[in-house]
Amino acid sequence: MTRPTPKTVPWDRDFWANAERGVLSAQRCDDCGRLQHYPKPVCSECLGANIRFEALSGRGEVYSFTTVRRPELPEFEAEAPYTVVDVLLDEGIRFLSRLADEQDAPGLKLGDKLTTVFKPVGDGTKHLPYFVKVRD
Amino acid sequence: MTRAVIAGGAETRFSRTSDLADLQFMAQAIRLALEETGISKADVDGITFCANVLPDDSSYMAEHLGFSVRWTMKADYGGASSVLSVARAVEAVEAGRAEVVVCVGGGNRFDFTDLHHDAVSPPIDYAHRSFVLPYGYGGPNMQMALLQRRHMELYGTTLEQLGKIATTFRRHAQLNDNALLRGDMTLQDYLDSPLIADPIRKFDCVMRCAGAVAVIVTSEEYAKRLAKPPVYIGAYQEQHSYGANDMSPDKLETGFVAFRDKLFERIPREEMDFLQLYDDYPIAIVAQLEDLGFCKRGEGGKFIEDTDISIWGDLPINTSGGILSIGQPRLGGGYIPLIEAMRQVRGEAGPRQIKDAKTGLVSGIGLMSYLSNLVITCGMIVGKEPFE
Repeated sequence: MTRPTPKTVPWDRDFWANAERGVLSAQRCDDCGRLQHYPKPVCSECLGANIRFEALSGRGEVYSFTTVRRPELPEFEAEAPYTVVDVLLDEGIRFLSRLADEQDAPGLKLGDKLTTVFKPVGDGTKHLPYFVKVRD
Repeated sequence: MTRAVIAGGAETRFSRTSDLADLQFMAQAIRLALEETGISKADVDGITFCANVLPDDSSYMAEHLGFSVRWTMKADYGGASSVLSVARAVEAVEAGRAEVVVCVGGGNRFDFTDLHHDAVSPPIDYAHRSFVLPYGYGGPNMQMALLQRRHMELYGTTLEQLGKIATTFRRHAQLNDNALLRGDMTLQDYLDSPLIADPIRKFDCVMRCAGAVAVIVTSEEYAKRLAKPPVYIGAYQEQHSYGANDMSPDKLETGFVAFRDKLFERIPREEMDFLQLYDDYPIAIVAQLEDLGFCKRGEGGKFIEDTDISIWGDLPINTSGGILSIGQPRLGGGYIPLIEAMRQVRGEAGPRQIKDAKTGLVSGIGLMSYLSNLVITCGMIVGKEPFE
């Protein structure tokens, strides 16, 4: 079994291109102004196709999280425990991700500030956004 | 207008392991349901299959099992497939498109891939493939963990409250010889069970099993010829992708909120003699009680603490042990609450019988969304007498 890696589709090409440059981005609709993630083939508000990727701050806070001890897929067993985070980005949209450094997990709570880092996955051509805790 | 009713239904024996293929299980359940109702296979003119991994289209599946019918459907609504397919069958019967519809679901364990020969792994959706699974995230354990974490942190919901749900259902399962998990479970056993994706622990998680269930929907007219009394349907509602257009949806608000007023419009909550709710996790019960309006948002844990939800209590919930203690036979799992509701209103529940059970609620929930929670929610009120 191979570890699942993101597969580029026509409408998310720029998301992965931005990620490779270390930039977190989300789709902005030019027709109605909506900001959305995950990438969608159209704007899910107005169904328009005039959407482009816009750079985000990469900063946000913990909306919820879980430390996974028994992964669903065997390919991830060697990495457990690891912490999945549901992040509320400063731009008001949410993003599912994972802590880049498990040392951030002890004592983690809702509302803790986070910022994005990128890690290569698969054959190294895809860069997946992870999050680290912002220390005060 | 034709009124559709539930003529009856039956389940196979459930097991941890088996050599049977999915369609063999489904055939067994159909045969048992036909025997239970006394309906001849030749009278069946509609069929629905709850199957998300079988690549065969529904009309071919009907062909494989020798059903020449007027109406077929393949239900791919996760755990909600079962109740939802019964609702679709009701619509078909009431529209005159079919008179006797078999609704079936189940199969062998999803992880025994060699038995499915050409089955395909569920593709779920694009968001899961590219933005969930690559993190080692995904699967209901982790998805429910995010929900439960937030519920516990915001509302102070306790493990003891959730454990009461698991241990009560286990006591019910001890009265059901087709439940796979019948051993004693104390609150301490629940608390001590190993963490899977905290705060979700082992005894929060539904167990996959092999087996199938079939339910037969027909017209009230046709049901008069049958030996057993039909089960009547008083109300039905469903919601898909609740909060889909919100880029930071409330993880604790489910689709039940969208239809609860309509669901209980004619038959109020207070008339429910029991609830049979889809229970893949205790936290799912808390969410449903809140969003169906049995208690206020955030007070589900307290409600459980203050209410006797056992067969002998004020509001009996999941009187056959729930899927949590019976096992989850693939997409057939959603029929388990419906079959138990049928037995309760017919007075056939034996040692589990609720005194004078006339009306109850059955729910279905299915799939988990990228940011919010349940993609599909549905509720059906069933009863012993016709609803006017």
